[in-house]
Amino acid sequence: MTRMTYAAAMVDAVVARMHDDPTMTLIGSAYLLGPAAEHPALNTVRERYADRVIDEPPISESAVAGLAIGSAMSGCRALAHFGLAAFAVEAWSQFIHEAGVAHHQSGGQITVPAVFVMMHGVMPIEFSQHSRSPYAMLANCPGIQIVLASTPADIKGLMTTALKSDNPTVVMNHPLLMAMEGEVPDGDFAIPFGEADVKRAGRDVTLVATSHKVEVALQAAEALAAEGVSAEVVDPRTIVPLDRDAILASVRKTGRVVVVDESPRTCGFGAEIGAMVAESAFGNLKAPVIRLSPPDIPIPRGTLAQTPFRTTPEKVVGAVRSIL
Amino acid sequence: MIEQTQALRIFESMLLIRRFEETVIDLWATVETEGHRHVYIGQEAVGATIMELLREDDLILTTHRNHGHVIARGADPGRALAEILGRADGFNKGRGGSAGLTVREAGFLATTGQVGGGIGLGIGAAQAQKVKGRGGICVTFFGDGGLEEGIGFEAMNIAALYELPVLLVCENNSVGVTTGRAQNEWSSSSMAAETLGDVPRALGIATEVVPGESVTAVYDAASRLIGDLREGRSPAFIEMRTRRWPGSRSFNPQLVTGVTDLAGIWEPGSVTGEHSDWINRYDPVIGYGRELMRQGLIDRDEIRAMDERISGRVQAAREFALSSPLPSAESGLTGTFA
Amino acid sequence: MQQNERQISLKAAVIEAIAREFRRDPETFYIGEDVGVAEGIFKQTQGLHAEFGDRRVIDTPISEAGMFGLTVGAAVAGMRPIVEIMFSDFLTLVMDQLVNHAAKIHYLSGGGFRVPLVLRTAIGVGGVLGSTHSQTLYAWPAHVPGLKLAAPSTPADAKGLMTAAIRDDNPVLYFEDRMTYNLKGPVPEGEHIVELGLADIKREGTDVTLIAFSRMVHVALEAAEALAEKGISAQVVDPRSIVPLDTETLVDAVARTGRAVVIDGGHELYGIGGEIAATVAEGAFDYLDAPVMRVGAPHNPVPCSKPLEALMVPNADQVVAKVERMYG
Repeated sequence: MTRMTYAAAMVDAVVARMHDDPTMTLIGSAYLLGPAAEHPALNTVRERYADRVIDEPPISESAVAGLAIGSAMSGCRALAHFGLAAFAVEAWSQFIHEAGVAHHQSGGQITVPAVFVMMHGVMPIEFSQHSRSPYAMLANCPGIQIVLASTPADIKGLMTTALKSDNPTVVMNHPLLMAMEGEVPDGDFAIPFGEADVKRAGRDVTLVATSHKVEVALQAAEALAAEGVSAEVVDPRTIVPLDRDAILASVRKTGRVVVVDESPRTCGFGAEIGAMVAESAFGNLKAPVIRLSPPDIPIPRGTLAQTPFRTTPEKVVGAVRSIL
Repeated sequence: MIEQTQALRIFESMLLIRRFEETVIDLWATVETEGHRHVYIGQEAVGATIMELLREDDLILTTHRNHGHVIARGADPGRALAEILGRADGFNKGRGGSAGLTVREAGFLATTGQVGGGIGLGIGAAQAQKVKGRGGICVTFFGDGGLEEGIGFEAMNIAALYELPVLLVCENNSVGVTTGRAQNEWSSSSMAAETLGDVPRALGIATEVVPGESVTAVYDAASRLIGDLREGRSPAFIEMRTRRWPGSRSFNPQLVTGVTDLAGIWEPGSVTGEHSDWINRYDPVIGYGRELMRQGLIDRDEIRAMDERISGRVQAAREFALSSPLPSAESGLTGTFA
Repeated sequence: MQQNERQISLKAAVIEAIAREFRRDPETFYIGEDVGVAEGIFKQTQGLHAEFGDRRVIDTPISEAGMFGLTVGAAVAGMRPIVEIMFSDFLTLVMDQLVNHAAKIHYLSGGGFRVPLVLRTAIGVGGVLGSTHSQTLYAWPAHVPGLKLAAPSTPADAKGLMTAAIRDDNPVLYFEDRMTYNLKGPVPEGEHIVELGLADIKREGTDVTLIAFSRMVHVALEAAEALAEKGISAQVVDPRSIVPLDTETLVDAVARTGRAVVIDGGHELYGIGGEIAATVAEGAFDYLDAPVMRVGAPHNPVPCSKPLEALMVPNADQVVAKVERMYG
C-alpha cells in the first residue's frame, strides 16, 4: 500500500499500462493530472514513447474520439482524455455510433479497446457550459462501459481494468476527487466491472452514491450514526455494467433508499435506480425511493453554483429523516 | 505503369463487382423487399485499382457504399451477399446488412452508416499503423457528403498535424460538385469550395483529382500517393470523380442500363439506347475492357471466358446466400459487449 | 363546430400545423436536409416548399451542427425556426449546440434571450435502417435542463403539439415515430393547440395504468384490448410531452388503479421509462398494490435486419405478461 492522491493513482494505472502494452496510444495526457500537479512517471512515459503520446490534440473532440476508436479497432489500445465531459458531448456520435455499435454490428469481428476519460460535475469556478454530468445519457445507449470511481484505490483498480478490457469504456472523474488522498495497493491491481462496493455497512437506509457523492454520503452516514440511524453506503463503481444484485440486496435489508449523484434528475442515474428498486424490491420497500440530484436547470457559474446545486451531507440527512 | 498481370486482375475484379451488384439489384427485384442498398456500379475502377495497390496488413474504412470495396479486397462473395441479405452466414451474422457489411479478416474495420464517421476512425487506424511501425497504411473511403460533416475537417487536420499514414479517398459520384439538384440526387449534397480538394489542400495535405472511371488515372495517382505514405510523407487525399450511374437511386437502385453486355467492349456499335453515352464514356468496365483489348492484353474470347467464370462464382454466391437461414430473433440480443 | 370526422394521417397533420403557423407568422422558416424540393425522405415536408419557397424552406448540406447552430442563432435573433434533424440518431451530431447553447442561453442570459425553435426529428425502429438510423434518443434531451420534448401518438395530438411547439418561446424537440407517419385519425380543422405538459387518457380503465408515448401508445392500446379479454381493465395514459411531464395526472392515475406498466420505445436502461417509473413509484407509493414495471427496448444496438430488429420494439405480449405477473 502507498498513500497517494486520486489523480496520482489514476496516472499510475495509465503509466503501468503504457509500459506493459506497446500498442497503446495516450491522447490528451496533458489533461490527466489537472492543471497544477506533476507526475515524474508520466513525464517519463511522454519522453520514452513520444510516438504513442499526444499531449494536447487540437480542439476536435469528435476526431480525437475517432483517433482513439479507429486505433482500438485496429488492435492498438488507446486512451483519450477529453478534458471536460461538457466538451466530450461533441464526440457523442463517435462514442455511440462507432464505439458502442461496432462489436455487435460486426457480429463479433471487431472489438474496441478504447478508454475515454473526462471530468464531470459542477466545476468550482467555471462556466455553465463546463459543468455537466452526462453519464446517464451514454448509459442509455448500448455498448459502452461507464466507470465512476470515488477513491484513489478504486480509480487505480478500475482504470487498470478499463485498460485491459476489450470494450469501450468511459471514465468520468470529479474535480473535487483529484486531490483526495488514500491508501492504494501497489503493483498490478484491477477491480472487476459490475461489482459494487459497500463503502459503509448499515441497517436502516441504503445510500446509493457515485463519484464524489460517495464521500458526501459517507459524511451523511456519520452524522446519521450520531442520531442513531445506521446508513449503508453502496457505490456501484460502474453504472454500466450495473451491479443490480448488490443494490437490491442492500435495499432488501434496509427497506429505504436515497440515491445521491450529480446527473440531472430527469432520466438520470437516480431514475434508473429508483425504477429498478421499485420494480425488483417492491415488497421490501418501507418508503418511496428518494432521488437527490442537482435541480433540472442549467448550472450557473461561480457562487451561484454552490448552494442549490451541491448535494451536501445535510441534504442527505434531511432526505433520510423524511423517510424514517 | 500497370503490369500486365495487375491490369488483368484489376479488370477481373471490376467485372466481379459489376456482376455482384447486378445480382444484388436483381435479388431486390425478385426475392427481397426490406432495407436499402447502395451499389458500386460506375465506381468499379476506384475500388478495384486501390485494392490492387494495398498490402495484406493495410487497414480500410468504408461506408454504406461498401460492396465494391469488400469484393475487390477478396472477401468471399457468398458470405458478403449473405450479409447483404441479412442471413446468418453473413460476415456480421446478419446484423450489418448492406450498409454495415464488415470483413475484419480482410482488413476492414467499421463500415459506418454515419456520414463522415469513417474519416474520424481512419485517422485512428493510421495511428495504429504508425505504432505498429511496419509500413502499413489506412485507406478511408467516403462520399462527397462526408466532407460536409465537421468531423471530416477535424480528422484531416489531425492527420496532417501528426503525419498519419492515411489515404483519404473521396468518391465523388455526383454529376458536379455543387450541382445539388441533379436528377436522382439528394438536394442536400453540396459544398461551397470550388473543388473538394481545396479543403485538404489548405491543411497542407497532398491532393489529387482523378477521373474515377479511368483505371490508368486512378492507378497513377494512387500508386504515387500510397508510395509516399509508405515512405512517411503523409497524409494524402484523392478526389475520385465518377459520372453518376443512371440507375442510381437513393435507396433503391434500378438496373436501367440493363445487365452489362460485354459486347460493348469489342463492338462499340452495339451500345444503343438512352444510356449509350454513359456506357460509352463513363462505364469503367466497358472502358477498361476496350483499353486492354487495344493494348492486346486480352481478346474477346478471353473476356467471355472470364465473364463465364465470374458469373459462375456470383451464381454460387447467390445460391449460398439464399440457402443461408435468417438468424433467430434472439441471436440479435447477444454480443453487445466483447 | 369543428369537423372531427375528417381523417388524415399523422404526417399530414404535422404538415398542416406547420403550414398554418407559417401563414400566420412570417418569422418562421424550415431548414434541414432534403426538406425542400425533395419534400423530405418520408415526404414529411410535402407541399411546404411549393407554398413557401426557397427563402422559408431551406435545404442544407449534410452538416447538422452547422444548420442547428444557424437555427439557434436565428431564434435568438427573433425568428421562429423549425430545424429538421432527419433521424434522432443524428442528435449526436448537434450535441454541443443543443446542450451547451440552445438549452442554456435563456437561463444564463438571466432571461434576456429567448430561443423559440422547434427541432423536428424521427424516431423508431422499422424498415431495416440499421443501428444509426433507428434509435429513439428522447431520453437524452430530457436529461438536459432547458429543453422541452413532445412525442405525439395520434394525428390530432401531432397537429396540436406542433402548433404549441412552434408558439413556445423555448427550444422544443418534437419526436415523430416514423412508423406512425401514415396512421390516420380525426384531426380538427382550423387552429388546434395541445398545450405541452398535459397528459391525455387514451383509454379508461380501473385495474392497471399503462403509460406510453408516441407509437408505444398503440402497443399499450393493443395490450389493453388483450387484457380486457382476460377480465383486466387497463387504463392507457399518454403524457404527450416528456418535458414538461404531467406528473400530477400520472401519479393520480396510478394511485387510482394501484398498478402501472411504463412502455418505452427507447432503450430501457437509463431511459424515459425509468424516469416515469421512478416518478410514479415515488408519488403513488402509498397506493401501489404491485411493483411499477417497465417494458423497453433491450440494451443492444438495433441490427440492420428484419428478423433481428423486431425484438427491438416493445410489443403488447410483453406488456400483458408484465401485468399478469402483478396478478401472479
